[in-house]
Amino acid sequence: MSGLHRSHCRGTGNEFLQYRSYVPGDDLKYLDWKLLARQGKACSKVFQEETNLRCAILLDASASMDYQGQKAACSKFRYAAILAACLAYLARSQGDQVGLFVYSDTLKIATPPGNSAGSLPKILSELEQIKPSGIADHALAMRQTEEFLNRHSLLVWLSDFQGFEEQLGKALRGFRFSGHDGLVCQVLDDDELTLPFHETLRFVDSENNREITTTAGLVREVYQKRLDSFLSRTRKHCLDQQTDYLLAPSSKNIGYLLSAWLHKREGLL
Amino acid sequence: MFSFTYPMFLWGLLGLAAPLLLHLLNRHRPKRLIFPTIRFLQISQLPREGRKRLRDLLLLLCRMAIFTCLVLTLARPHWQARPDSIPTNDLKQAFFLLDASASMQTHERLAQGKKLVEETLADLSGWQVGGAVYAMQQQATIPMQSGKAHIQKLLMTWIPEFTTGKPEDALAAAIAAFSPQAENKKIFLVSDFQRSDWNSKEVKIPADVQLECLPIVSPLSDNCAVSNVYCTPLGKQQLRVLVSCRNYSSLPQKRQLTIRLGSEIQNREISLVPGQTQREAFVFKAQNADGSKGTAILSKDSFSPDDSYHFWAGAPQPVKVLLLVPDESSDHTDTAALFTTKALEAEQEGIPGLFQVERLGTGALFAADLQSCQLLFLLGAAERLSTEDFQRLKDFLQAGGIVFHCPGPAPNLSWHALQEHGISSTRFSGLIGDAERHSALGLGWVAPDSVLQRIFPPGNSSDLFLFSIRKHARLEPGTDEKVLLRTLAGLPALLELEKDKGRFFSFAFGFDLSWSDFPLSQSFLPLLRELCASVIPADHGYKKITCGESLPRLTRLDGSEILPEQPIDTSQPGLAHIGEFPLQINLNPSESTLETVKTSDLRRLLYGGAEQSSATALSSSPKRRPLWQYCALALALFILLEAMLTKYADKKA
Repeated sequence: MSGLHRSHCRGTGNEFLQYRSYVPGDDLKYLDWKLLARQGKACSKVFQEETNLRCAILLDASASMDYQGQKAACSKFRYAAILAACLAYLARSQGDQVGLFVYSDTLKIATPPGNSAGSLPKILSELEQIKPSGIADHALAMRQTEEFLNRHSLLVWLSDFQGFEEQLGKALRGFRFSGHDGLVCQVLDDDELTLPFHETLRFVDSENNREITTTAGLVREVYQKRLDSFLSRTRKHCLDQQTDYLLAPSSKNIGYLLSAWLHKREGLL
Repeated sequence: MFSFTYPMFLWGLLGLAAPLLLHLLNRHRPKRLIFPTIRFLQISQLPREGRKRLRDLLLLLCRMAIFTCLVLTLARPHWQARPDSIPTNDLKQAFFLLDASASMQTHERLAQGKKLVEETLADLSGWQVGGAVYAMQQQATIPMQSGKAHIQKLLMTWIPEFTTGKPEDALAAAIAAFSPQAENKKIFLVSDFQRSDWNSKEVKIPADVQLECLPIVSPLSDNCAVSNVYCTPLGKQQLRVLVSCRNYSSLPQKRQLTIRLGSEIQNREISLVPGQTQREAFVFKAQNADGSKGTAILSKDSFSPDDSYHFWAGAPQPVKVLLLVPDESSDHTDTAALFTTKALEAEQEGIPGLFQVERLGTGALFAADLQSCQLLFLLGAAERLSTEDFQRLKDFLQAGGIVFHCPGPAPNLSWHALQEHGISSTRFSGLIGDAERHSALGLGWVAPDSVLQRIFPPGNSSDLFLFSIRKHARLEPGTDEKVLLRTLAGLPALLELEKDKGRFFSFAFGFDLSWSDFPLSQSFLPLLRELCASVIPADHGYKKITCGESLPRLTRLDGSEILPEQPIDTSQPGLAHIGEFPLQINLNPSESTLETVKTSDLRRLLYGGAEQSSATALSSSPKRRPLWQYCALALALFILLEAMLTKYADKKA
């Protein structure tokens, strides 16, 4: 059964991809006889095989995702969940298989990709019920998710990746090595990106409850530098592993964000 | 030297701890914010905290200063030069005013008062001392003299009376007794300072006279009193005696109540609820003239003068009613006067009628003594009265008289005259109905909150509505008039107007048969009697005065004054007669109360009313300088400063 997406496997598809020199053992039905007659070169036709997409959405539900800033309409987790729901809906609309994996310290929800009629409602229901809590263990979640994906799949990873920027490259490398494709979507709040506070505040880390009392206005410059470094390293690790990277501020319109990313994906093909 | 008029307010300075504690408790604590990660944050320097702390400290000091200024303003500080710097004069005078009102009639109070005087005298060496004993009037006075022996004589004459205290005359005499050359002048008030005795503002003490109050504190912890007695005939030769007893103490009391009426005596043990008046009813055989004197006696307590009450138990004096009819008698006016007289004089259940009716022509009104009558019926007579007669009517109403007006042959003239002379504001707008054609009109509405509603309750009001009205005046009541009855068409049939102390009732129809069948109906007698009875005071017939009060002036119908056969001493409780009027003399109930006036309030009152306190009065002398105005000014400045600092702090925040 053929689908809408171009397969990485070349061979028995309908769409012509390229010529390659004939090597003994090639199926003679792919030999271009007309070219051989015209130019005297023996070339075999290579076709692009079209397959169905297996899409796995990996959603971070740790406590750090439960933050809602001054400008945002919802928390980071809620934003990421809506984004996941939109992607699942789009995938199911074009007949692709969709799965959902939600994690914090462990894998909390594991719904492998499937194309049954009930898969989308199930995913939406799970997205609605889950509450963010705990400390994120991204590497463990990645390993456990990979066990469910035995064929070539597209992994959409929605998280803030706080404290994981160094291990992200390693995690993506193994994943890519298994033949999967990936999209890393880093969801951050505007408050995290700009630190807009002026007064002295007691900042409490949402995951480990450590506190620091500081005047935001005075440390904003240093904060910005550290944040930029964090973002650039995350982005670099993604690009190194040929994985799409998308920064999603939670105050940004989801429709614009999705359309921009989908156009970019289409252009790459 | 600093001193304070109200030093107790200085305890308020303890309240300074409040802003201090609030300041310490409300230190600026940073707000807590749960943030996704604090990895990128670092601890910052807080260079402006010191400046902020200084600002907070200034605010704290400012608030403490506001509080201090407020307390000082209330405590009324003043600066007084040291006594050694005051030029002294050898002449020093003191005057003792000793309260001999009825409330002092307890052994403890009198002994305590005498002790206070003797103690004060011991401190007045070198002073000229005078004194006076007062009750309702000044009893004994001793002029200013050196030495103290004559004050001891005054104390011997200090015997409390049964009258209330009126210290005004004694105070005026005390002020007059001081020599103008005296440097130090002091009045010592020795009294229980009962509130009722010290309400007058007539006397003002000059600023150079110092007032010292020596209060006698001896609470009447178990005082109960007989406050009133009413006697009403029951028929069958019986008499009901209603005795009102009041418990002035704060605890329930049990007393033996004895009623002595002629030769008959009845006893009863009663329980009295604290702070309340309670009525006890007794039934006696009706008394003849000799045995109509009665006494209600409560068993003794700490204050005995109010334990007995003297009362008359004879038949009550009838209410005198004057029927004023036109001089030219006609059948109509005769009929109206006859029906009215019969209704008012009728006996009811064997009890003699309350009203004594006299008929008088309009021409004789100038000679009538309206002071001796309570009710006046104008039966078609209003249009015949002169301007002088109307003035007498107005005086009668002003003194508390009751006037009933019924229209006569010229209703338009009568209402016009009443309106013109300012007695009634009702406008006459013509007649409704026709006597010849016997048109059927009637009553249809009774004012719900009137006495008529009680006589003719809604479910039983058919009697009132049964008679027919042939004609009646169409009346437009004034704004201050109340409609008591309305016709079936909703027009006013009976109006009531409160005129000064009296009342003016105006019927829309007359009491003769050309107007209506009302005099023939069953509702005529109860309506007229109850309406009249409702406006007569409950104690009518017995003249009641309190001990020390002057005798009431009573006059006969011909204007001559009624005088007692023998001189009556009103300073003692008892019974007497002024002509045919029984007189009851009893203790003033205000002497039984425990309410006292605060000496600070009294000083303020005597030194010139609320606008000038005793402190300021005394401070008018150059030796004493008030400082509270400066405290108030400082208070205002600190409030302003605090507001500015707060605004600045908010702006910076």
